[in-house]
Amino acid sequence: MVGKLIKVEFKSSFRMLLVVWVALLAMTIIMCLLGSFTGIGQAFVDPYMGAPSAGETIVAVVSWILYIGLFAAVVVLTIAVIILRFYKGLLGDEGYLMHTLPVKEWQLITAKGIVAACAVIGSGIVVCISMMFIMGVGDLSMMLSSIKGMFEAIGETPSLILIGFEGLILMVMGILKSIYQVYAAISIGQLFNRHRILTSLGAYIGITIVLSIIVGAATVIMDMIGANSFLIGWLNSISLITADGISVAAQIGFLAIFLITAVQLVAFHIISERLLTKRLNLL
Amino acid sequence: MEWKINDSLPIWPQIKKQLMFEIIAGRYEKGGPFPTVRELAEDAKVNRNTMQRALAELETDGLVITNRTAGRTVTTDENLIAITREKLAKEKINSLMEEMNAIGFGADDILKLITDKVNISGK
Amino acid sequence: MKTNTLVECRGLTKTFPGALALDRVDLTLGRGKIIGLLGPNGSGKTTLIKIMNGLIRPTAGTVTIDGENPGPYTKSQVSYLPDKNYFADCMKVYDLLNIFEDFYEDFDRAKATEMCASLGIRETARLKEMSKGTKEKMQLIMVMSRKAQLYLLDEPIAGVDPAARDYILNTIISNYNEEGTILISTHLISDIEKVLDEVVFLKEGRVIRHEAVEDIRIKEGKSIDEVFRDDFRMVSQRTSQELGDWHYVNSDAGEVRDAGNAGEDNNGTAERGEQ
Repeated sequence: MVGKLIKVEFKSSFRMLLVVWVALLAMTIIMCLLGSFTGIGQAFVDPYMGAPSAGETIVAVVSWILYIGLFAAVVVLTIAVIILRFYKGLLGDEGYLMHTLPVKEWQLITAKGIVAACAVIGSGIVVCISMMFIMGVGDLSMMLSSIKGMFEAIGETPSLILIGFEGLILMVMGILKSIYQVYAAISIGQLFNRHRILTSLGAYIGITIVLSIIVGAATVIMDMIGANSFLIGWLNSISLITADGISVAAQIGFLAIFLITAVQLVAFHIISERLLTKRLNLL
Repeated sequence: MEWKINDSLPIWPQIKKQLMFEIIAGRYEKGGPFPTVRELAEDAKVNRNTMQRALAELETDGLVITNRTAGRTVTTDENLIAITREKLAKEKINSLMEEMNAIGFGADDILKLITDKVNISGK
Repeated sequence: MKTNTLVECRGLTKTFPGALALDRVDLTLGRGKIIGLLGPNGSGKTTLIKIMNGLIRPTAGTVTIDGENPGPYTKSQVSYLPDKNYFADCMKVYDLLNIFEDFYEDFDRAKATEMCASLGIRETARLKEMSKGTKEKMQLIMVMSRKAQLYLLDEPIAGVDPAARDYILNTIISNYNEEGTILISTHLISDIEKVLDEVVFLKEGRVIRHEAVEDIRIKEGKSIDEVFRDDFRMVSQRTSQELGDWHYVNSDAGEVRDAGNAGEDNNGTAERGEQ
């Protein structure tokens, strides 16, 4: 069922996103060709001509404005996909369809979350590619050499693969967690019959405050009982004992972050699921 | 078929009467197929259960016969149709008489009016 | 196992801030019937239907459909026509057909396609490009192409012209699953009373009448429309004391507001009769 829901969700979410992604990449390429970015473009605009003409300046300025606009569009639309696909798709008119499909609430939430995460990752990749071009990595030989360098580094220290993989997992978990925090906030917001956007926003801020209070309290308590200095000492000693020590310490750190993120992720999911199951109020 | 239904009265007897009329008037071939409940209900824009009840009454009267294989058919019993026809005619006359009496016409007046009407129509 | 009871409401109550939408509704609906859910605007019709669909959770009381509380099973058995357009505008007709086919086992795609074709709606047409009337018909086609146990039709003929009304009523009575029950909410009674088996009159959130229509006609010698007018002519006045109580009861929901505005603000959901 989640698969079928994802299929539906993809169609509605990606229509607009695809357009801005393609537009941003196209604009990046156009600007590379025009030489609007420094570095690559210098050879294109004859260097012996001195300062660029008024026409060239206008082209450069306009293309930069367009580029920044598209960049902003990608960011805004990605956030909009996260918020609106949940808010409108489950609590607006479309919710009348989604909530009368023979599925469970957790399936609806999971499908939305996965598709939103894909949107974020997709936007991230598009933005990265565009940035690489801007920063001059667009130069093919440079790109190839940096990829080559990466493989060499992996050859020397194979544990980099593991660390990279773990980094990816943490990143995806972090993205999902952030999305689920938005969902939990909106689910709390829909409990109110009026000003649901405001109450959702309030809930989001509230959750953030509660989280930082918990983190702060935990730090203070750990400090008081001396757990902090103990942990640091322990990690230090581990990294000193063996040659592999540093990576063992890194693994412990990874595990800790993983667990903290996972707890939040699960908590947000449960909040959304319970509220939509027990307290749904479609207006 | 043109259905005339008064919402203020129970609907199935009205439908039954109209169908009875149609059968006697020879609208449906004797022994031939009779429309299904569904078709009739959609045509009359009434509830299927209502139509079902009207048809069940027609079956009880014997005007419509349910065949296991051929569905519903119109009766072939000429005698039954004749009797029903007469019964309907008498009902019409009775209600005419009642209404005429109510507005002050006696039996003779009614008879005279009818004779006049027949003579005019005849010419 | 199938019992004769399809829908059962027990003490069903729903309050909105400052308004009581349903007031201890007890209602039992059987199978294979067309039932009119009749009441003036704001009498709780939409709220009742939404609770049966699981779109709103009741404040108190229970509802079961085919013996189960609203959930994935009942949703697979209920075909719902909301009083608003619930399809995303960017969808095409075949997207809708795909969704219904994917999720509802009782959906008859061939039937839906045929009905679309008879209206001249192409499968590649976007909902965005359709008129309001066509969208409503499209939605009705989807809903009636399911072989459901229960059809919940919320105001299917409100605000449409007579020709469209005929089309809608015809589509309903010629396509529903005969073993299923239709619950059709409306305040336009004369248009549909001939197709009904039973009526449920809802007044200020309470069921004030649940009877077979032919019984009513025999007993009262009147059409359902006339009986309805009689039943609702007396507009009861709720005291402000009562309203005040509801203010109090609902303040836990976070907001206390003027009961008089509740109906409009909630788009007809926080329904309440004339005050």
